[in-house]
Amino acid sequence: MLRSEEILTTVRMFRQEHLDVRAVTLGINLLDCSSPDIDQLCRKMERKILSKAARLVPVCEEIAAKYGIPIVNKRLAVSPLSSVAASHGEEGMLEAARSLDRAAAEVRVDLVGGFTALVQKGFTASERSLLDALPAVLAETERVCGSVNVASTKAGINMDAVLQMGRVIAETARRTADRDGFGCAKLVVFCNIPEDNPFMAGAYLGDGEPECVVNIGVSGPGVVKRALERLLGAGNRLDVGDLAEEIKTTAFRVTRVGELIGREVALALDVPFGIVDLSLAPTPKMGDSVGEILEVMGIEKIGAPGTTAALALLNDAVKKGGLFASSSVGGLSGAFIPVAEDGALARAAARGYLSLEKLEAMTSVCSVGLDMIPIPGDTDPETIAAILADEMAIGVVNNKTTAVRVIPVPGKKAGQKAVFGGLFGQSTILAVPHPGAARAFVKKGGRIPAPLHSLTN
Amino acid sequence: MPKKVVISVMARDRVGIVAAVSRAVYGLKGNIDSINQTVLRGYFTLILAADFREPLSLDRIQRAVEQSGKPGELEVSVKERDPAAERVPVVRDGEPFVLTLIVKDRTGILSRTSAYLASRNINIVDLYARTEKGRFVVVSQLMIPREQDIRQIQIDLEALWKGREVTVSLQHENIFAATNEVDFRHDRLKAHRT
Repeated sequence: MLRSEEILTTVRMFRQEHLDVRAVTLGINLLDCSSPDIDQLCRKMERKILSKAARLVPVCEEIAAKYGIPIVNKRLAVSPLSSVAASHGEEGMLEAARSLDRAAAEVRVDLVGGFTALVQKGFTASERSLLDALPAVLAETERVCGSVNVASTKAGINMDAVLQMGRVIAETARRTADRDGFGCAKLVVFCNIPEDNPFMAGAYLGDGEPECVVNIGVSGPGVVKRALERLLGAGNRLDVGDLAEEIKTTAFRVTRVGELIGREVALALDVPFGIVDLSLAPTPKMGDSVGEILEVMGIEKIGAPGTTAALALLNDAVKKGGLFASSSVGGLSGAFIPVAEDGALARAAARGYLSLEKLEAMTSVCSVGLDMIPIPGDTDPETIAAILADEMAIGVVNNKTTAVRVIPVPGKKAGQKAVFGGLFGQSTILAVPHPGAARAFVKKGGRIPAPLHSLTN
Repeated sequence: MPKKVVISVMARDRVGIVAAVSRAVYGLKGNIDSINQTVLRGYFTLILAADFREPLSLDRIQRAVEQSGKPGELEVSVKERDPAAERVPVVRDGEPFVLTLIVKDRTGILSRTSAYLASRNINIVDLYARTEKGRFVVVSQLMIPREQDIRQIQIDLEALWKGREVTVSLQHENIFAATNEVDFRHDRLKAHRT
């Protein structure tokens, strides 16, 4: 029998602390849709998506009502288009992306991930076509997200791909100049890309995954923040270990909510349940911010010395609580620090506390990387590539997933504001130090070899 | 004469009432099968199910329990237990939900809310309410027939107390179990669906 106090605490968690399910992502295998005829391929993809995902949104709405928990985003993650549409060239890739966009609109999901290529060791012809098509796809389609894995701990860093992605990002920004380079918000460059990530823009259905699968991303920064505030407000003398304990307990509850909703959706759609992603995913709303958690922990200015240590504590405690709650944890599973999407981080950027260099340091202790960071529109492709290379190196050497989602904002300079709208938020444009100074290095091309796995001192 | 009974006791609270009542049942060679007891604003109440080795009259049981307290102290009632009461659910094919209702206090909240629930064939399985800083807080476990539309019930309850700063939350019981019980198992979901 449940106690009324437990019930009231749980209700408060939903009502006042912004606990919601951030994303229900349905993975769908499209590899069996291949065809030498592009029109037929598109028809097969659309038919398959309709048959598998038509009920996704209604089912989510029904389950959200049953549990009184909002499910904010419903999404699709499909097999990498570089494989599904192999042999169709750049124009074919664009055609396939348009088809995905239509199907996603028809089943009422907000985004579809899977315009994806894995090129950590080298390119196939179709992967080259996919990269060439990326700027047009991101500019033209509304819902299609792209992701490109350019590095892994086993393969090292493909510097040709890094340079190419620097150019793709610059070109995508140019083509979506009227929206502050928004196309780049739908593109992630990865090291060690996870196959089961439910969060956009990096979701796709990877190798080893089933025909269809439900993966879940829960939010919860607001719940963690309020829990810490209550604990500290009670006048107790607490050390950082006490904070870690409280975060663990909260992460436990949040994870349980995610798994419950995920399993319900999977059961209703008659597909397997995959994973719950533990990531604390912030939104621009007040009280739903990872940055605010750091502030409650005692970091007055996010970006000041101490920020990395506080973030490391938070990230580790979230994982420990989540892993005790569920045996089906996967995806990215950490604390996100997407600058434009997180109110407190965006404020810190505006006040000059938070720099690109400090963010890079922070990404070495949390998921997922340099995320939703607007940079000056005149940043040259080689400098963007150098930013990518640095972040990839952190992932490769530390055997973790890292990613970059930077947005060059055409016509704007550091200190000006970029506005993306909705959950994508807004932020002051961060300065990129010494642009062009690594040009000779990134233009050398080739592959940075995989790191040692022994002698790790 | 019955062997299986249900007994309820109400009294001003003091130390030793459960001891007295259970001694009386034991004295009649009865076995207490389950019991639920609480104290509300200084008043004690309990309900228990007991099985007796020999059939006894309801009067005899009632007298024995009454005499276990001081004269006139315990209000006791005894009923024969119908085995079907436990076996047949009050709401056939229902699902367990938790209702929390917080509304600016006034008279008639419980009466109107429960009348609405009854009109929808929703059974109140457990109910707790208190007044807190001018607000009436109701926490209740409900059994809701599967065919009912949860969204509509939520809308109706909010409409019922519109203008009185109402917060209604109606959520399936699983969410409370999953977030509060360490050993929650997800195979519970499948059981609900069969």
